[in-house]
Amino acid sequence: MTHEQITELMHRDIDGENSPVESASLRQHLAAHPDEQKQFAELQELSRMLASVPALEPSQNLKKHVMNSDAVRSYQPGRKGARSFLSIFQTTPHTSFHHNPQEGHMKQQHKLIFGGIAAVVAVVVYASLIYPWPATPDAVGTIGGVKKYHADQITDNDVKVNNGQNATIEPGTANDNSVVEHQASLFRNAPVDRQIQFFRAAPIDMQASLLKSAPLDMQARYFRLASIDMQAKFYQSAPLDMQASLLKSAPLDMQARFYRSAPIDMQASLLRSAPLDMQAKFLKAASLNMSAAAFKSAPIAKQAELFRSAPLDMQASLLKSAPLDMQASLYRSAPLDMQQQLERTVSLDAKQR
Amino acid sequence: MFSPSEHRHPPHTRHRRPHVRRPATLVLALLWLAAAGSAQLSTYQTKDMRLVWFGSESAYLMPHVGRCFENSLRFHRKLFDYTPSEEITVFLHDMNDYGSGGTNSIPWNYLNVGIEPFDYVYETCPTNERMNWMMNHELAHVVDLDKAAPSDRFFRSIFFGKVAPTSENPVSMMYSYLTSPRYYSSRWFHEGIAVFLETWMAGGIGRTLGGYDEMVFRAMVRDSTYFYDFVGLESEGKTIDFQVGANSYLYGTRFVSYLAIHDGPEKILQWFNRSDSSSAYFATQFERLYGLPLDEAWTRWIASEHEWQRANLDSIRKYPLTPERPIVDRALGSVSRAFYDSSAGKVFLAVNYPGAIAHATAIDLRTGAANDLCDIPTPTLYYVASLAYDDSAKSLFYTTHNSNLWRDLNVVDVRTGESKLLIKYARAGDLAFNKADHSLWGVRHHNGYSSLVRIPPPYANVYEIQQLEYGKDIYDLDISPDGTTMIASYIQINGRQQLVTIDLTKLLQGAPNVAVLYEFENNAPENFTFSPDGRYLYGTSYFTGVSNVFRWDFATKKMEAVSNCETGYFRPLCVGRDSLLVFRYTGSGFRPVVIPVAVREDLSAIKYLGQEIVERYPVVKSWNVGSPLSVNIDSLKTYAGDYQGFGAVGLASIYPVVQGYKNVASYGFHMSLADRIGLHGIDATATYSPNRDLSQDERVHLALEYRYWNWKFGATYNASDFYDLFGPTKTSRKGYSLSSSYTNSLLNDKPATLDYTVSATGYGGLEVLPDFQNVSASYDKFGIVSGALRYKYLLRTIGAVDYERGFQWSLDETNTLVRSTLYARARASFDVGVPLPVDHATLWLRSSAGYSPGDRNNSFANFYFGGFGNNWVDYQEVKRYRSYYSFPGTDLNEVGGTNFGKLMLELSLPPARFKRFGIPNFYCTWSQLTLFTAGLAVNVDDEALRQKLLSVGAQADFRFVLFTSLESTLSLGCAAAFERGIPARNELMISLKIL
Repeated sequence: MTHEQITELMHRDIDGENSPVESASLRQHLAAHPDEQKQFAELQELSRMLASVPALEPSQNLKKHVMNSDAVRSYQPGRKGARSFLSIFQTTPHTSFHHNPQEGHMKQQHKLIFGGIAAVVAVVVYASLIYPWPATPDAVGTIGGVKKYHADQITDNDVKVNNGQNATIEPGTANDNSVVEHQASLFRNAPVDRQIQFFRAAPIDMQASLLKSAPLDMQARYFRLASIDMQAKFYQSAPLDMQASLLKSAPLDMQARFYRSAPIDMQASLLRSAPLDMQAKFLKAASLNMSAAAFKSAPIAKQAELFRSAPLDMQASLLKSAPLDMQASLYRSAPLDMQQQLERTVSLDAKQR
Repeated sequence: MFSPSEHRHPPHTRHRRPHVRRPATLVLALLWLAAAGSAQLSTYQTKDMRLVWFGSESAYLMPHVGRCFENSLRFHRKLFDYTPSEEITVFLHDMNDYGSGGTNSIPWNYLNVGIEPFDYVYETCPTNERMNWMMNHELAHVVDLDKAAPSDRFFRSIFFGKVAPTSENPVSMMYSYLTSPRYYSSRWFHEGIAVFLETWMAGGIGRTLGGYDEMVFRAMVRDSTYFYDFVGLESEGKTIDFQVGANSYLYGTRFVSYLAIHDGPEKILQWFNRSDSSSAYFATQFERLYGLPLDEAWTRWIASEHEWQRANLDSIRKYPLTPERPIVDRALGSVSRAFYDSSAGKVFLAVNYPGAIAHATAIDLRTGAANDLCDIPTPTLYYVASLAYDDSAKSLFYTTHNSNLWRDLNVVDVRTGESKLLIKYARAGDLAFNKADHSLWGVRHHNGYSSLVRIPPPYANVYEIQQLEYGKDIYDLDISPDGTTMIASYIQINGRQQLVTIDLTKLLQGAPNVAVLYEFENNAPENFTFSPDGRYLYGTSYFTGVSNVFRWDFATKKMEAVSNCETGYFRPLCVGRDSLLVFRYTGSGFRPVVIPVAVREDLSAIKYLGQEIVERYPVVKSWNVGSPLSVNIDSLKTYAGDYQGFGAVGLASIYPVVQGYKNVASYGFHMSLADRIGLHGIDATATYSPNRDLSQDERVHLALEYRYWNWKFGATYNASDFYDLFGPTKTSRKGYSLSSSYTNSLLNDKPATLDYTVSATGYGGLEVLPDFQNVSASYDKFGIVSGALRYKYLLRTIGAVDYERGFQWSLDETNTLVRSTLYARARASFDVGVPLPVDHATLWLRSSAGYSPGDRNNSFANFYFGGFGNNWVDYQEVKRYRSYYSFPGTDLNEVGGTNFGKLMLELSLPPARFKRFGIPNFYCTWSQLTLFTAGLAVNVDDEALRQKLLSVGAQADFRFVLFTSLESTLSLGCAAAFERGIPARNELMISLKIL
């Protein structure tokens, strides 16, 4: 066997990896080669020494120590004359383990050194990349966080109190004014869908109160939800600008419906304040008598506008019910094609004028 | 829990921690309600709960509190197999600026809940939603106190309920124990289980798993501080320590945690559970279950605690500790936030330590010399008061009524010490001063909400800027030097705590904005303040388990550790470019030290004892009570509407009594009725004296009393009294009486109080005067109308057994109408006390004078004096020698006159406290000696009848505790009286005051 093979057998024997045949072969060889027997004994001694050394936990700052060491700091890749940290990994060209009995020993030493360095590198990699550092991303160094059991907790959604926040809104049952006001306050702060829900369930008087105090954009929504009677009632008590705004946002049939249910004087005032297109719609929806009455109460200038925007049949009826002097004025102000159409429907006197 | 005083910290702090409350505190709550005007009480009831609240403002809380209650009760029912003996009354109130909780079970199950947010200083209080965890804690007490074994149920059936002990009938103590034996366990026992359970029921948020508790015991081991045994804890440990009653919570929680680790948490439940087979006395039950006496287990725990903390200390010491320079040579007890005046080199703060009244002080950083500025008479535990400092005006703002009632805002000029009240009932604290516009910012607690408020100069009004949602809170405010940014610690409903910034400009423009700056995982950012240049924030956190100083760098947006402390550092304050003043925790309180600013890269985490429990016994994870929303409170409702006090009156108990009438005994029964919150109370006693020496018309004895709010009505027939069995003072009287009285407060601004009482009593068939047993009544029918006005401003320090400073005065007028003749007697008194240089020693000057214009020969027109006045067995004031009518050394009522003047000089010596003097069921807590000398002159206007006497005496008092909560006092007195021409007389007094 070559020396290399014998050395291999020695290591395997120390590691307990030889088969009985191999061990016997080794013993036989060593018995005949005292030098190699001495080498084997040294290797065994070294192994025992290493086994008796206690395992050390690498410092948590090992990475820093290594990277802050002079060797690393002074490492200049490619610079002549600088002793490179990595030079320890290089084998010298003159060193050979093959032709010198000492070479085997040195080779072994190099193996150990190489193994040690590899272990250090492995530890550094593990510590820096794999080890569970404290969770705090801004922690510097090692600031150990205390271990504390912490289960999931109740959240905002689990806490329901009787106000706008996470409100459990229930229709009020008390008649006390302060309760109503309080509920109105809750109402205002609640999400819109909850407000709608609440409004639907609330008694009439509360709906009225809520309508009054709601912002304009919400009023239209509430208005649509309310019953016709409620709508009429509310409308009657609402200020004019609110009425106009409500009507604007209401569907046409609702507008018409309401207009019809409103008292004459209110219709008149609605007309006065409503935009022209709405006025025409009102007139259309209104009964003829009402339309006439509304028309009559409108200012002259407005009447001309109303007349022009009214449907033909209404114009005819308006003319019919208008005083003669007004009829003439209206007729004269109408466009030609309209006059021609009106001629077919209006009275002879009017035409003559 | 059994302390008669409000306890604000959930079991730890003034903060109001839940505890069992005696009727005296309930009386205070009722007086508050009375003062508020009318009893507009509302109630919401289920089968097990009667929720009562005042007014409509706090009604919004009702459904949530009800859900938390039912959710928690459901858990306790299952864990302890518990069914309440009656419905549990929960009374919500807004008496104080910080939340509180208290429990009683005698005669009814009763919870008293202050609805305001708690204070979270040093993480002494859980931060998750408070109604949830308070119910978890308080209902644990209810289970502990109310659950009955067969013997308890038997006696409750005999006595028709749970008997409340009263001093009028001391036999009630025995009945009370028979009906509720666990009520008479040590306070640490009750708090230990409640805190233990509250932690696991809240998924780990609680003091069982807290940095503060760990720190307390770590510091004790480090400093080799004495560990109280469980008797010493009750007698001394919870009275003289700067943490006072919090020690019961600390020790109780710790001991229970130790038992949980060594024997498992289920065994603890068996110990606390009053099951059918359990022993009545908690210590006996412990020995049965654990196989060794309680004090031996306690000793083992102490040894184990030392071992545990040494390991933690070793862990901390792995890395270099922060060097520190002490400023003063002692700890300062509780400390407030501090402020540094660099030009003067002084630090301003408020302190409260045993032996001194809480006060604001200025400490020279170089010399450590302290200059006291002003008293802060109503401090809170741990942080004393909320302070803010205006360096330009040299004004230190501070709050009062920090532990009770609503906070006031005050200011003191640090140059002159002159202080003045700025805003009454400001209800704001966590003050921060804005140097840019000189406004104060703070956090107001009102009606259960926290709000950011601003108080601009001249500091006359509080403006609410932003109200937080219910359940959220904010504290530890500070404002950047340029006045644009506020930082604070912000608490979410789930208990998360974050360091936040608020743009003040936007906020004042109506745009609330809270931006999270940093979050220590599962730990609070505490006491963060700006550095003078605004570049950094310095604060503390228990991130590693130890409270260390951290620094936030605005430029790098990094949080860095700058200290490594063995116990804990708090409230860092920049006092130089590279120095911080911090307060290090010690067993005697917080000690100011200066440390360098040095970034630490390595700190070791310690271990929490509570974490050991959950790792060894994961079963505690299953004790999470879950969301209260799982309860449909509407479906459980049985009634909602006005609280009908009189309609809710029920029979509390009936029990046999023995009383004394003249020199014979009488036997009978006493009956108590009351409503569930104590608005109405009725007591009736009927006894019979079978002794044939008494005439027939004197053998029956009746007494009836009805109390409602501030009113009291009474009637007696041949009044008898338990203490007349012993004498020498007798209060039993032949004849009948009808009486009524009304008491109210004109001022309740503690420590200043002004109360008045008016009463009217009619007597008939009397032999002797009602107040003077040795003086015959010249007529047997007469009426007395009297009025009294009493003012008190009395202060005491931690560890005191009596008031140590202050003054009080009273005016009394008694008018006796006899056969259309009116006999008027007017009397006044004034007492003033000054503390002496020795802790708890006080010199008092007590004076009184009286005058009656009536006929000197008529007993109704005279004042009578004599004797100590104490009975052999008594229930009234122990130091009766202070009363105007006492004159030790003479016989009772021996000296009389139509006018008098009296002066007494009294020296109260410091009490001697005993670490352990007795056995667990009966021990002595303290003793005190007082020396006095008094001079009395009567009939000053008539030289022939004038008498001048001198008395010299002493009294020693020994306070005992029976069954852990029944306090009694043994008094020994001796005195000699001198009068010209008469041999000296002397008197020996022995008296046992029960309850």
